[in-house]
Amino acid sequence: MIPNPLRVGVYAGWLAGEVIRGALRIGVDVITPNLRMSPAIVALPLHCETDLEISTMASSITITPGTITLGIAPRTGDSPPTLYVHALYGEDRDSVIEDLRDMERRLLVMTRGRRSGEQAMEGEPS
Amino acid sequence: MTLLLTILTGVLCIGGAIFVLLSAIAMLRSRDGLSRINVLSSATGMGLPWIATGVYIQHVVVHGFDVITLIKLLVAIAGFIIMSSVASNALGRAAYRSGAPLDPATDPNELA
Amino acid sequence: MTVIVWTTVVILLLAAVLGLVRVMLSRDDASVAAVSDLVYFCAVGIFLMVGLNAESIVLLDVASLAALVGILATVSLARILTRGRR
Repeated sequence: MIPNPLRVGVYAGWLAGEVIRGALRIGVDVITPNLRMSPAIVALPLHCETDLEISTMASSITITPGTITLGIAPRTGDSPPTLYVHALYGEDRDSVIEDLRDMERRLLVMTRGRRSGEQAMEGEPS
Repeated sequence: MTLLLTILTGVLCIGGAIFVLLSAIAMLRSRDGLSRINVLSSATGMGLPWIATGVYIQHVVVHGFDVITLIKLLVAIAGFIIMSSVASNALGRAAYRSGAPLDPATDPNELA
Repeated sequence: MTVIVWTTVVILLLAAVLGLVRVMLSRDDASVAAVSDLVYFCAVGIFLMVGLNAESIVLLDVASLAALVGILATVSLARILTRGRR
């Protein structure tokens, strides 16, 4: 169950870009006089299934400056596994969720291949 | 060639140090403990890997290239990124559960 | 080369001092844990730079060990924050 190394490279490159973008965003915010931070804690139900996918998702969220995983709720009954994410710029809940969904889509494309990854992201998680 | 590599080393080392400094300034200005744990990842995800890469380039210039050192560099970068993110997960969870004071502007809070 | 090394050391020292100022201003446990991590990484960076100036050969060993062992301090701090509960 080792993902394709080429896809791992694509995902790692994209993640490095996101880390630079997040670090610059925070840097620009803190060296200019007006502080625009307004933290939020959002619940993110996941489409991921295996432990590897869930823990990679939690680590990727944490390594991106501006978001950190506070807790992982495992699958219970019919509610999907859920991450609780502390976002530094959380004025707009929907845009935070949208960024995280984009990261999850790329992660699933890495672990499952393009077709089944895109397919798993359709619809709400269950 | 050596001059070019030295300039690259300088950019990587000073750039990495600037990321660590930005993280420290963000830590100074943010308002609650969770935000401070949050901004730490720009130091560990960018700053230290850049400095390690700069050190590796200078190592190649002075002592020559070998594969073992390259593996050590890759272990160091992967270690900084993976270990620090796992550690931050544990620290963030512990901070929230121990009832650290939250920024009153935290909204929405879906873990309350 | 010396210029690069000392510029980096000064920037990292400034970062560590700013972290210590933060601890002096507010002493809640989560901030102390975050700042201790920051100071640890500053110390690793300063060590790497000073070793670079001396053309030491063990620097990458130090970097990889520091990366792999740094988690121990943070996880113990996390356990201290929750008073030993998981």
